[in-house]
Amino acid sequence: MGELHHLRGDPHEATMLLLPWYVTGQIEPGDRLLVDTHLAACAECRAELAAERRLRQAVADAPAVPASGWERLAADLAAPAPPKQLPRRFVLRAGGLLAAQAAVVLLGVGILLHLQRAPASSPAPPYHALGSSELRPAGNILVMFAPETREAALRHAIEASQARLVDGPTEAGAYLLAIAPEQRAAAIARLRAQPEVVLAQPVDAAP
Amino acid sequence: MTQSEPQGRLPPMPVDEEEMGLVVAVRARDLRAFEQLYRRYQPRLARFVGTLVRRAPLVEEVVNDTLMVLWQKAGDFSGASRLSTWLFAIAYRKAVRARARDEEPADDAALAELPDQAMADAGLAQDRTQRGLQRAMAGLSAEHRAVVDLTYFHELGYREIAEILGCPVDTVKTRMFHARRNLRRAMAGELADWI
Repeated sequence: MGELHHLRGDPHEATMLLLPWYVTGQIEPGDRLLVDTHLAACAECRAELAAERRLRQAVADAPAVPASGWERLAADLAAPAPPKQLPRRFVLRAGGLLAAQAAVVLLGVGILLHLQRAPASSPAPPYHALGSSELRPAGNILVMFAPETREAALRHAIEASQARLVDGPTEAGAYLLAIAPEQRAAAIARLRAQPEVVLAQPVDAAP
Repeated sequence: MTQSEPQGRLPPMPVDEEEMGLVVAVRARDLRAFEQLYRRYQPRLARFVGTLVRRAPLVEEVVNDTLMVLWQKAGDFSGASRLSTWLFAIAYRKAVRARARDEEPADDAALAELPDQAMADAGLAQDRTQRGLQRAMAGLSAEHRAVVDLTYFHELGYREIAEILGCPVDTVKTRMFHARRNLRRAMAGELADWI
């Protein structure tokens, strides 16, 4: 495992950084395609992957912490703040003050209860599951550009390929394009002809 | 959304919809719903907080404080993120504060001093791996330990970890990279043995 030299847009570095989540499966679809593509061509990263799987297994095998503490917490909830924890003399001396504070607290609780009643009728905000945004986009070409590529050149290269941009940039800086299968080889050739394209690979989503 | 999930990948966490149902019940002061969530999250939070804070009573305090936020402020959880992300993020902030104000910050090296009994029992290669791992983890910074634990034990994605730690996604990846390198360097022998 070598030092990282920051070359944004370098599939080797991106793969090295992404391997842990590739191993656990908690990786975004575009990044997974990037890693799959690079692994096929890089023996060093395949060796890394094997070592990474062993490390992950070791961490995952560490003993879990048994559940505990509910009974005590439930007891605390049922009988909050027992006053016997305070020294008796202090309690006697501070009794009047505490009574005054309790009155204020009770007043506050009353106000809170009153306030809480109001929003209770309004519906809860809609719940969005994170998974809904992780559908695999239907792209079939993965492309990466040189780090210094300007946006205009990037757009031009994609337009010239005649493929359609469907996703990206991914966290690793890759883009996913879509084109009719029979035109894919030609589109990849056109992309590779562009000087700013550092990687253009066919990818197929797993069935 | 689950019906369109490609090729039946396992959901990373317990079913979100069911949890949201429990949170709604907790908002309505349903103690049994709270108990279910407590029992589900307390062990995971205890393990995570244990990577940041060493003293056991402090770990318990941070975890209980975190889960009390769920009991008292379940209305603050909007469902925009996962419940696990929300709870882990609260636990992380509380653990960092607890660590800072703890009068005797626990020495991370204490973890490396395992009792002799553990050594005697370490006959199997897997036990050796666990001992090596504990030692190696003790050598990491708390932030690196947290990222390793969230990635490999809790199996969270890089975006979720970034949200929990309140840092950029790239920071999560580079922290993980350096942590992996240090771990593997520290336990080269154990990992090679244990396949």
